[in-house]
Amino acid sequence: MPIFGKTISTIGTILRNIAYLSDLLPLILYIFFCKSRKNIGLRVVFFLSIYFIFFNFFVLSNQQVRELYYYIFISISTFVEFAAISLLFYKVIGYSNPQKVIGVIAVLAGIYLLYSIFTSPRNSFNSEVVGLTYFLFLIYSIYYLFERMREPATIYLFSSPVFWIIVAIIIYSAGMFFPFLYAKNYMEEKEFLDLYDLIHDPLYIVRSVFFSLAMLTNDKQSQLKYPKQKPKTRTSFNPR
Amino acid sequence: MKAMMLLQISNQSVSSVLFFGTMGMLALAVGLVIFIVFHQRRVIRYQMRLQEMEDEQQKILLNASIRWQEEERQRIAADLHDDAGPLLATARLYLNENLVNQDISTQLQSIYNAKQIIDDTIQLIRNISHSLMPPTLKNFGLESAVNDLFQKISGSGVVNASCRFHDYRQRLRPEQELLIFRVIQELVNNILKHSSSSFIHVTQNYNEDRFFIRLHHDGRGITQADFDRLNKSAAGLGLKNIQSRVKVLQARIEFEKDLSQTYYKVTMEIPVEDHEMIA
Repeated sequence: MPIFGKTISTIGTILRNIAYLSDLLPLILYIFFCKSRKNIGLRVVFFLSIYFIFFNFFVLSNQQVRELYYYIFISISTFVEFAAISLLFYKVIGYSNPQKVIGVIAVLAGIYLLYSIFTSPRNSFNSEVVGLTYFLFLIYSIYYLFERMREPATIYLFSSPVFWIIVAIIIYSAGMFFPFLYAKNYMEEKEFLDLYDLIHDPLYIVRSVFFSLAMLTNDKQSQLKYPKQKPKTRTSFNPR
Repeated sequence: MKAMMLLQISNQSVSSVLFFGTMGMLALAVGLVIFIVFHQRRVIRYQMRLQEMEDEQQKILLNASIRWQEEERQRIAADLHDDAGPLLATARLYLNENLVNQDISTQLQSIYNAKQIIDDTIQLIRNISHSLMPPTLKNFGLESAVNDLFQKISGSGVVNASCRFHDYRQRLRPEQELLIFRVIQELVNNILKHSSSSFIHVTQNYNEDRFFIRLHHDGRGITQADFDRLNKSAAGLGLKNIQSRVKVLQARIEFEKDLSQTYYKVTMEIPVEDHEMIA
């Protein structure tokens, strides 16, 4: 039994290290393939990758900082992620009214998140901040996908890098929603922590893989030959 | 001991909620993404099929239009070659070089005959020109041109043709008038050729930026289904021309049988903006 437990623990450690390293993949792909592309989604992913690499390798690797400020850093990085991904959705949502709604929600939720970060106890996981953030991501993602479904389709969804970014966000947010909600009360318990890591690390890797797929996807302007709207100019026709 | 057991049970239930909740959420998320991707694929394929069908229809219309233009050219060429050509050749015969050697009365007769022939040729060329662009339409507008056409048809005594324009104070743009006139002409031609009707009546109305032309007749007519079918087949060149013109006008045309089942009705609805009308 202890051998089995040790194996699980080793797998967990390997998964965690792969998860940390997986942030490098979209970053490298962006540098090599996407530097000149002016796609807001790719830029947001690039920024988040840099931020998480910095956070994982430099902040969390410091044992003293980790012990003292682990939860506050988690909350702050959630806020950074919230700001970046809200900006992404604000830019990629096509209609102006939902765009305004996203802007207002982002500002209000942002204020609440900041307030919650500074007023909540610093020695426990802040489930309100993280839960609200990922709940909003789920709502944004579902709205984005439905908007694309309703739109007169001119390109396949999967030929857009933003689609893969949204898939990454929706899968990670959906998968981590319950663990984040329960983390406040159970984070100190080993059994929960093991399960949390077992869910989090593979999903984090999957998210990085989808971000990398987004980096490798070329924007396609139009799959069909005809424009979205019929041209208003009339064709010349000689009636007689 | 009891507290420990309760804690263990609570932890187990949290673990199962966590596991199954996460799996459920993941399944929903993945299912949603897959559903949307497949739905969009289906929509795109459907649109592509529609686009192909529209392209095919466009090709048929274009071919019909080209064929019709060629037939028109042939008709004009035949008119010029068979009518104007011999007339001018005859006039030339009257005015040949031997004319100077002939006596004065023969000369005068020849010149008179040549003048007659040249007048006939002028009339012939005028007729060809009028068939290309009716002067009444150009100078007095659609209402007068349709009236003119219907008077000529009524004059034959076979069909009673009448028209009534209810609201045509402002003329449409000349190219629009010409297209509408050609559509009416084509419809009337078809009615005269195929329907054996005893009357044709055209009315015009204007309502909320829409210009309406309605044509009734009591002969054998076609319905919208027949029109669509003939448009897709190789036959029905005239109908394809109507369709082309309707398309250029960005208008709508509807063929139907009247509710009373006695008359056939053709309605043409043309969107008109104020700036398209000329005083």
